[in-house]
Parts: sequence; C-alpha cells; structure tokens
Amino acid sequence: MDALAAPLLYVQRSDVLWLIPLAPLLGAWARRILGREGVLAAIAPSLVALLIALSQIVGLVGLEADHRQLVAPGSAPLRVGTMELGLGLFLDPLAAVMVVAIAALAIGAQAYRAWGDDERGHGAIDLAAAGALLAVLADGYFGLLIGAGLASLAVAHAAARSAAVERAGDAALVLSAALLFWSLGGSWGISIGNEPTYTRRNPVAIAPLDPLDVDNEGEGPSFVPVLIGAPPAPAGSANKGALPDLSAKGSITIADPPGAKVFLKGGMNPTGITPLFQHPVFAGRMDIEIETDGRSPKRQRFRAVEVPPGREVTLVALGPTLKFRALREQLALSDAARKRVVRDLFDPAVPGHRRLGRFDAVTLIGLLIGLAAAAPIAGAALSGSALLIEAVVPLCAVYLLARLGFFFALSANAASALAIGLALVAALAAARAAVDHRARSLLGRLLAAQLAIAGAGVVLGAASLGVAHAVASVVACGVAWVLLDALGVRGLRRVSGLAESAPRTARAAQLTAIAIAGAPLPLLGAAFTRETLLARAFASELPFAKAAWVLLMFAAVLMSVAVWRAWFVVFAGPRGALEDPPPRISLGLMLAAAAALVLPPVLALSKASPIALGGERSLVETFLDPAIDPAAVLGSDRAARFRELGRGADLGALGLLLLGVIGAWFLVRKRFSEHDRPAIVVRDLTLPRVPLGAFSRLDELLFSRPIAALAALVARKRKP
Amino acid sequence: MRALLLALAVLLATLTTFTARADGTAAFVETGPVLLDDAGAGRATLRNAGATPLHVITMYARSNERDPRIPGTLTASFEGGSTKADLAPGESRPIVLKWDRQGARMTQLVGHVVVETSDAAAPQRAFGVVAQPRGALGLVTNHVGTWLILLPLFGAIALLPLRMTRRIDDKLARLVALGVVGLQGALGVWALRNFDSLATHADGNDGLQLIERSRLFGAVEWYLGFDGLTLPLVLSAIALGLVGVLSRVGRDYDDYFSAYLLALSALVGALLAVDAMLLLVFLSVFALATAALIARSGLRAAIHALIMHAVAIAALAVVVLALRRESAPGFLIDGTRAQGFALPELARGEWLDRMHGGLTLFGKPFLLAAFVLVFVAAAIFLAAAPLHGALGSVFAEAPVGAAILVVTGGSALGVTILLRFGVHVLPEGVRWGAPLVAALGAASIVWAALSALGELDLRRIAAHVAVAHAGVILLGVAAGTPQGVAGAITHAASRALVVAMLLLCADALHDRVGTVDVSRFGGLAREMPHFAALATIAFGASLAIPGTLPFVSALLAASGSLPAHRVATALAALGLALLAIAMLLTHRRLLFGELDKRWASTPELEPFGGKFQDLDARETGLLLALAVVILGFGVAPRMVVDLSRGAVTDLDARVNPERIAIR
Repeated sequence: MDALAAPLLYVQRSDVLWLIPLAPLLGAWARRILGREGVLAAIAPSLVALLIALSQIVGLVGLEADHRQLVAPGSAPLRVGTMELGLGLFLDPLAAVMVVAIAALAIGAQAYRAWGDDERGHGAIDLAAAGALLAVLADGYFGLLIGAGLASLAVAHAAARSAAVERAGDAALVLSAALLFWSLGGSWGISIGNEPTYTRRNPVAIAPLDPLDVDNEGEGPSFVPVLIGAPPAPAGSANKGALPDLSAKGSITIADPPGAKVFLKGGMNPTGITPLFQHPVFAGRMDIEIETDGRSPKRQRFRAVEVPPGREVTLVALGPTLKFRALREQLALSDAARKRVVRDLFDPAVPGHRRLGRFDAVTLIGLLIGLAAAAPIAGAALSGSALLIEAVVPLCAVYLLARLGFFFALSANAASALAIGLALVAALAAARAAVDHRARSLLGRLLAAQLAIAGAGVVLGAASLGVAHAVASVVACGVAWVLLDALGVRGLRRVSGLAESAPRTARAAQLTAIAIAGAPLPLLGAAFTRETLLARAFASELPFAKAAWVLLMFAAVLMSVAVWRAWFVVFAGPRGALEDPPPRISLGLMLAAAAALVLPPVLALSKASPIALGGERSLVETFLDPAIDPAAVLGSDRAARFRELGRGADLGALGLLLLGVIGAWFLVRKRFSEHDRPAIVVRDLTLPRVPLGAFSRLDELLFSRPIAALAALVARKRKP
Repeated sequence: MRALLLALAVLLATLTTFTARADGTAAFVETGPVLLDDAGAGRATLRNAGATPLHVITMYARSNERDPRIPGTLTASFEGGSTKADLAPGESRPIVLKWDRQGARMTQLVGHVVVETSDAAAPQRAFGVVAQPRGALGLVTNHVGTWLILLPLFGAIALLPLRMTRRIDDKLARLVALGVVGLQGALGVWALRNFDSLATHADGNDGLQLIERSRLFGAVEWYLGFDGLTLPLVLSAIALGLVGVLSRVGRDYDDYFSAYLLALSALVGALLAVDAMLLLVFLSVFALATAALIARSGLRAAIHALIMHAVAIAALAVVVLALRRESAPGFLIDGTRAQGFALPELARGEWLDRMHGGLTLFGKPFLLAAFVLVFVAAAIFLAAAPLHGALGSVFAEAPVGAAILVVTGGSALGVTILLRFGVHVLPEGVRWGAPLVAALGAASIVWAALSALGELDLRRIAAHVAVAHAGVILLGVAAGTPQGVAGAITHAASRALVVAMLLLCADALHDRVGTVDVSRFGGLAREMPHFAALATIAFGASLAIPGTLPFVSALLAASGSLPAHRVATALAALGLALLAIAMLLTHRRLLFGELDKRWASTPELEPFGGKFQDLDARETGLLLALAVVILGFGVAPRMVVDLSRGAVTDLDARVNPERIAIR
C-alpha cells in the first residue's frame, strides 16, 4: 500500500496562550479582592488579555503564511474508545482576529460602565470576555462549548431571555459536533446490531496521536515500523467510491522497543511482547498501545497508520476528531493517486460519499451549525439589553461558521439552504428593526441582521469578508448602543431634536449610521463589507443563490430605513431636552465611530472591492485566507465552484444596491426629518399559553398515584 | 413498621457478614484456599480418601489463553515436577505451587488449580489459590472492601441503642457518622491509589482488583472486588454519603444516622459484590434501610419506595436463580464443586447457544426474558420513566440527606445491575434489547422534561431532572460503544451530584420559609447572592451546560449512541433542550424578577428583618464542594472517566466480541 501523504505543517508551541482567556478571570478576581474601582481597574484584565494576544499575534505574523499556528496543548486529552475530548488552544489568523475584536469590545464595555459611574456588571463582562476568548482560541469543539457556556452564563446575568434562547444554540452545537464526529467516523466499530457500512472503508495508519501530546512530551514524534492493511482498490473498480478498501485482514509488525507490551484495543495479546512480527489484525480502526518497562509503566497510544521505515510522513490521526486542526489535516490527506481520501468521503461529487440517511451529512451539519449561529442572533434580537455583552456570543457563532465554513464548499445544497436561511433571518430582523420604537432592541435587531449577512457571506464562499463584516458590525452597533445609552435614550417616540442640544453625539451618531447602513455614502464602514458580500451573493453560481441575494438586498434596504429613521427621529426636529454626555465619552465615541467607518474599507480594499477589480488580495484576505479559505483547506478543485467576480455582475449588484439604499435614505429623510411621528408598534412575540402543568399532573396521575394509593392503603391499615 | 424494617435490615446484614465458614473437601487436606507466600510459592496436599488407588492424570491452573483467569503463570506439580502420580488408599502427596508474576499487571492472584483423577465420581477436583501483597496494615488493606462495608455497619449498630436510649444527642451521633464515613473515604482513597484503571479481563482475576473471596454458606461466597465500574461509583457514593451526613435532618430522629449508615453500608456492599446472591442481600438491606430512613417523615413515600424496590429485587432474584440453575457447575474458592452465584462464572454460560438449544424462562426464550427482568430491575433503581413514580414523593417527603442517598444509590445500583447483568452476563440480551433500552431512555428524557416544564415544586423538579438523567444513562448503555458505556458510568455519578445540589438548594429555601413552591419566589438573587451563584451552577449542571461533568458524560453517552440509535438520540437531544427550557424558566422564576413584598411580613422572615438570609456556612460549604467537583471534573474529566478504561474495554469486548480481532 502506498503511503498517505499530506502537506507537512509546522506548528509552534506557545503556552502563553492560556493567559489570554485567563487574564479577564484572574483580573476580575484580583479586582474584587483588592477592592479597586475606576476605569483602569475595570479595563485592566481585558487590556492585559489584549496585550498578550497582540504579542502572540506579532509572533504569528512572523511565521510563513501557510504555517501560522501557535499551539498550547492542555492536559492529555480524555480518550474513550476512539473518541477524544481535549482542551487545548491554538492561535491562527482567524482566532487572532476574533481575539482582538473580543478583547477590544470588552475593554470598551468596561470603560463605558466605569465612565458612566456604573460599577455593576464588571464581573459579568469579564466572564463573557473570558468565555468568548476561550471559545475562539479552543482547538476543538470541547473548548468551544465550554467557552460559549461561560459566555452564556454571563449573558444570563444580563439578559435571561437571550440566555434561554441560546440554550437551543448550545443543543445544536452539541448535535453538530456529534454529527461531525460520526460523519468522520469509521472507528465506531460495530455497534449493537447496526454495523456502519463505512467501518471498513477508512484509511488506516499508525502515528502518535499528536506530536505535542503531553504523553510524548520531550520525545518528539517517534515511530515504530508498522504496516496494516491491504492496498487500496484501484480507482474506478467495483469498490464503492474507489476509496481504499482495507477490509481484508492485515498484519502488524512491531519491532521496537524490545520487551515492551503491546495492547490492541486495550487488550493484551498473549504473545504481545515486542518484537512482535506479523500479527494478524483486521484493518479498520485499531488503537495500539505500547507499554514500556519501568516501575511506573508508561503507555503510548498509537493509531493505525502506515509508516514505512525511513520515510517522512505527516502526523495525521485518522478517524473521528473534534479538533479543528486535526480535521483540517485529515481533509488534506491524499493517497498515491493524489486523491484526497478523507475529503472525498464528504464530497457529494464523489460517488459513494458518506450519506446520512436520505440527507447529505454535510447538509445536516451545516444546517445545525447555522441554527447554532442563528439562535444567539435571535437571542440578541429578542432582548437588546446589555448589547455589548451579548454581542460576543453571536460573534462566536460567526467564528464557528468561518472555522468550519469549508464544508459548505463541498455541498451546494447545504450552502444554498443555509444562505437562504440566514438571509431570511437578516430580512426579518431588519424588518422588525425598521418599525421598532425601543432603542436597544432596535440595535439588537440590526446587529442580528448584520451577523446573519456575515454568516451568509461565509457560506457563500467569502469567509474572510464575512468575518471582517461581523467584527465591523459588532463595533459599529456597539458604538451606536453606547451613544444612545449615554444620552439616556430608551424609547424613540419620546425624544427629538437632539442634534441641537447634543451636537457632538449627533455627529458621532451620523458617522455610526453611515458605518452601519451606508446611505448616503454606501461604501464606508460595515456597509462596505456588506455590499461586497452582496456582490458575491449576486455572482454566486449556487442553486437559489439569487433568492438569497434578493433577501439580503431587502435586508440591506430595510436596515438603511431602520438606521436613518432612528437617526432622524432622535436628532432632527426642534431642540430637544437631552444634552451631550461628558466630553471624554463623546470624544471616545467619535473616535470609535470614525474607526468603524474607515477601517473596514482600508483593510478590505483591493480585489474584494467592487471598485478595484483584478487587484491583489486585500489585507484581511491575505491574512485570513490561509486559515479559512475553502481552497486552502480542501484544495482548489473543490473550491473552484465560486467563480471569480465578473465586472458586469459587480457593477450590476453595486448599482442595484446604491439605488436601493439611497432611495431608502430619501424616503426616511422625508418621513422622519421634521418631527417625531408615532412609530408603528409591533406587538412583542409571546409564546402561546400552553398549559405547561398538564404533563406534570399527568405524570403524577399515571406513574405515581397508583402505587402511592397502594402505599396509602398499607399505611392506613397499620394505624390503630 | 419503621422499627421492624430497621431491625430486619440490621439482622440480615449482620448474619450475612459473620456467617462465613469453610468446608473441606475429601481430596485435599487444606480446607480453604492455599495462600502463597511473598515469593509466590505455596503447598497443598492431596490425599486419597478412598479405599482404592487413585491415579492423578494431570493438574493445571484453571486458565487458558482465551479465558485468562490467572495473572502471570501459575504452575502446580508434585514434588519433582511431575503432574501425574498414583496414590495408594490413605496416602497423601504434597503439591508444589509456584506463581510467576513476571509480566503480570495484577499484584493479587485469586484462582484455582484443577486436579484430574481416575475417580469416576468426581474426575475433576480443585482447590483455591490466593496470593496477596503483604504489608504492615494487611488486615485492613487486604480486606478493604470488607472494611468499607463494615465501618458504617459498625457505626449503625453502635449508634442505634445509644440514640434509642438518648445516651448521646443528635450532634454527637452526627459526629460519629461523620467519622465513620470519613474513614470510609480514607479507605476509598487508598483503594483509588492502589487501583490500576488499565487492567482488564485479559490481565486475569476476571479483571477484578482488591479481591476478597471466601465461602459463606452453601454456594454463596463473600466475593468482593473492584473494577472500573465499581470504583467511581463507590467513591461517589461515599462522597455523597458525606454530604448526606452533613446535611440538615429536620426533626430529631433517634434512629436516623443508624439507618443512614446501614443504607450506606448496603449500598457499598451491593456495588462491590461479585456474588449475585450477596448482591441481592445487600440490595434488600439497602431497600429496607432507605425505607426506614424515609418512613419517619413520610410513611407513604417509604412504602411506595419499598414496593418499587421489592419489585426490582424480585425481578433480579428470578434472573439470578434461573441463571444459577441453568449454569454449569464451577468451583467455589475452597474448591467445592457447585453451581455458584459468582457473576464471572454466570457470564461464562454461553446463554445464546443455550437459548437456541431451547432454553426458556416462563415459556419465553431464556436470554430475552432474563434481560427484560434485568432491565426492569435496573430501570426501577434508576427511576427511569415509566417506573419513576416513587422518586417525586421521596424527594418531597424525605430528609434531604436521605433523598440524596436514595438518588445516589439508585444511580449507582441501576447502572451496576444493567452493566453487570445486562452487558457482562447477558451480552446478547443487551444486543437484542438495545433498541428498547434506547427508546425508553429517550422517552424518559422527553417525558421528564415535559413534566418539569409545568412543575412548581422545586423538589419534584429535582425528581424530574433525575428521571431525565436516568434516560441519558440508559441511552449510553444501549449504545454498546465504549463512549456510551463510559458515558453511562460517569453519568451515574454526575447525575447524583447534580440532583444532590438541587435538593440542597431546595432544602435551603424550605428551611427559611417552609415552602419550595417556585411560583412564590422571585428576585432571590438580590437577597441571597451566594445562593443565587451556587443555584445557577446547579441549574446549569442539571441541563448539562458545557464545562460541567454532566456535559461530558451526556456528550459521551449521546455521541456513543448516535451511530446505533439515531432517532432515539435525536429525541434525547430534543428532550434535553426541553429540560433546559424548564430549568431556565425555574431559574428565572426563582432568582430574577421582583421579590414578593409580602414575604417581609411573614413569621418566617420577620425575625430577620423581613429579608431572606443567605446561605449559612454549612450550606455554603456543601454546595460549594459539590460545585467544585462538578466544575472541576467538567474541565478535567479524564480523572473520572479514565478510571473506567479497563472496565469499558471489557464491557465493549463482551458486547462486540468481533471487534477484538486479536482475541
């Protein structure tokens, strides 16, 4: 059998990464013990996290573009059968962007709370920051779920309603992790009465689980010469999918180290003392443990891999994994015929790819991840209070979409379904924002719409731009939220004419409105990345992509209406009663608004821009693409479906967009510029009243009462 | 009634523990197992007790490659090295035993040497061989299982007359109980340190460690041992036993701690028992003692629980007796040839082949009928729907410590019965019944979640949580994958921890205002911040939020179950989401919103200025300890899950023998 091969990936160890999520927690604890108050004490933990992150990012940028990974292994992972649960961290370009965004957001939130003389809630922000930082730095689902759980706890402190909705997101996350694990599987072996058909079709190999595994710490990667399995079936043979068929019995040969005990599947072969020559085993998944001598025997666990002596191979643990890094390495694995054997298991274009019942496994995974992303977004839309804290959770959802976004390049159905779903979320959230009269919930819904658009962008193949849009949107909406909160604006119907009484805030609000909504200057701020994403959607060849584009356009226009309606209602008209907040807040907001306006176009300007076609990749794409671009992960052949933007398509999309948002702006200006009009009130969503106690009573009636009656009878008989 | 139950339980436990005796055999001079010395050497003597010459055909250690019962190599021969001999009537001949432990993982040996002779009446005779590591505290360390059972039993026997005659007060009784359980805990830690979690059946001794085996009466043996299934459950039982001792009792019950220690003793005994009859006895003592524990505060609940436990024990007893009746004769530890109750021997019954050969139970195929009975027994102890009816009333009426013991014992015993009998003894049964088990597990979760949605009594909500988590355990067992089994074992421990936290929270509220009706509370977070923080962890753990131990165990169970039972797993996930909604609603009702101002003028709060008092030191300590365990193991679950590695490998091999190609 020819060896499987994959590009060698060099990673650099950096245990300092652990300090990034720990800093907010430890800082909060120290602040509480020392009893310190004030702005510096409030922002110090998040600031420390940001500074550590920046120092690590400097090191990261110094590495070659394809090898930008810093790794901090945690404790040795929990291994049950073939499943591993481990908590390690890794910093790649995507994680770097998210870490900086979250830490900066936390600093802003803490500073505003401290400046606003509101000393409550610092702990909740620190907890949310720590959880979100852990989530985006975790090297797999396990850490991501713990981090998201921590952040959710913090959100529960601020907004219980959102936290309740986010549980649905957690459930979807767990299910999607399990489905992903199962889809990658082949190592589940023969389960009760239901042998998976793919058990015998996985590539098999032997390699240490992880070169950085603490079990092997200091020893570096070490191999024993092992050979398992029969050669792969030739391409085009009767074997399903031309995947390597390793169902035949193979044999292992373990010569080194002499005198060690060999355990297969946890059981020791009676003759399993090395050297062990040509012991027959089935192919398929085989965990091999080698226990060296000593007073405290040490076991090293290996997984099946073919390692011909003297050849350089890639350390790839084949089989199910919940680790993002390992998953990516597996997808890159190719055989002698240069076929990507693991990737092809998922690829609907490859005959015999793995299916989940009637559905494509990847479709289901994609939909569940989408649901996981949509649930917190819906949570934000429901509540809107404490937006700065809440923003980190949906940001994590967008992060996850970007992290696993390459799956969508494999399945057109999955990508289309999810893009349309997210576009629908965006349109509905924007529609509700356009008629909302409560400032906080309006901004929550705007953020929901923006993040849904970012998610759709990721699914449609513009992962880097989607991430940039998500970060820019969170910053812009955060600034807007602080603006209105600092003025004391709660309900839009009760205020007007603040442009005269609070001029500095009005200017900052104008900049923020442009950054969020675009019109009348649609190519600045988050509007820039959004419109680029819309152009991508227009040019996409996915089935029903045009439907997604129409919905996204509709959402964009409604967002313009919502933002400028709010601005005119609050700031236009005769002089109002509210005044600017203290200059330190106003000026800070002005700066933040200006940054939110200018940075996205600067960072994302070039090829991505509809007005700079044919140029080099933008800064954002240059940095992020090696980590998340489908072409980088899956190979260019599977990512080619997203064709390059055509000039006509770009200009058409841009023209339509400009017409839409500018038209919306004029409409809103005319409608709301003179004085406050009663807003359209939409009744809040309320759950239908279900008699929730019915099941409880039924439970008692069916399962408790009968024997309780018997018990009562016995008890009564015993009484005199 | 209560006194009768208690006396019966004490009598049963005492008789069981102290009636050990040893019978001799006709062929061997030694009347018990041969003890090997530190060098692994020992001697036995074979005597021809008959009137005619006896020809010894061969002798060998009872072990082979396919079924390695002996760790390392045990050789037996007459002096000179021969395994053959001719003995004249009345002649004795020494047998030399040598245990070569080179390459053996186990430090202990418990096995048999078989001698085949020309005696037509009994061509095979055997004697037991035992080798123990010796140490200064051998009396304790070689009998750690017995001491784990005896310590609380002694405590119970000592406390009963002292409390009945009011010679010591409740406080002193609690201290005694605390000391007893503390000593138990120290022994448990010693067992943990001397336990090899990687040891499997392939390492000999049937995969058991720290074994004690002697004959009690008839074919019943005092056969105790630790494995990866037993140890985590015993440790969690002792830890939660400690919590129960320290928790509030309520009124001054004179026999509370006696009954409590007795129940704890029986629980540990049932978990350690490798002899099925011994297990039944301990289960009976546990049922009686818990009924006595509950009876003073809620007689109906006690009888309700007793009826359910009696049904479970009866179902299991039928299976045990049927298995024994149909099993081939083996050897007891003293060499007696008999149909014993040792579970490893019952597991060698080849029940599938026997069923295909026409073996039946109650007219139904033997294996299937036996598995159904085992499942019923396990489901009752686990309180899985629809057999969970007693749990709500027990939680509502029993003192909190008793309720914690009931749920701890139920979890541990349920999963033990299911894995020991269902998977280990009747693996083909669990393969057949897996879809049913998974379906009932999922149904249990969904039903409990729906019931919890509208429930307002916090203790009953805890009962619904326990029922839902029982469903997770069933799902894991039904999976038949290593992940599922490991998830089930871990979830048995984590379920008890979570429910204990919820019950302690409910007890704290009940102590302050005499009610746990959630609808009457609100805004408690302001007046009871410590309570709010710890209750949040309890609620989070109950819905298996990431970062908690239940999350890890539920994830293992669900991901193990997914390939085998897709629909059931999806339903279970839906049920857990519903449970999350129910728990979050309760959490919100309890802690957030506005506090009812009428509380301030109630007689319960007036002495405290109309305010809810936050947790006191004891309540904080107990809840904090549980929270640290749940969160700590949630982030570093390997410490718990790895304890079961060997057992999981063995159970996986039982259910999926074809997966271990090398065997």
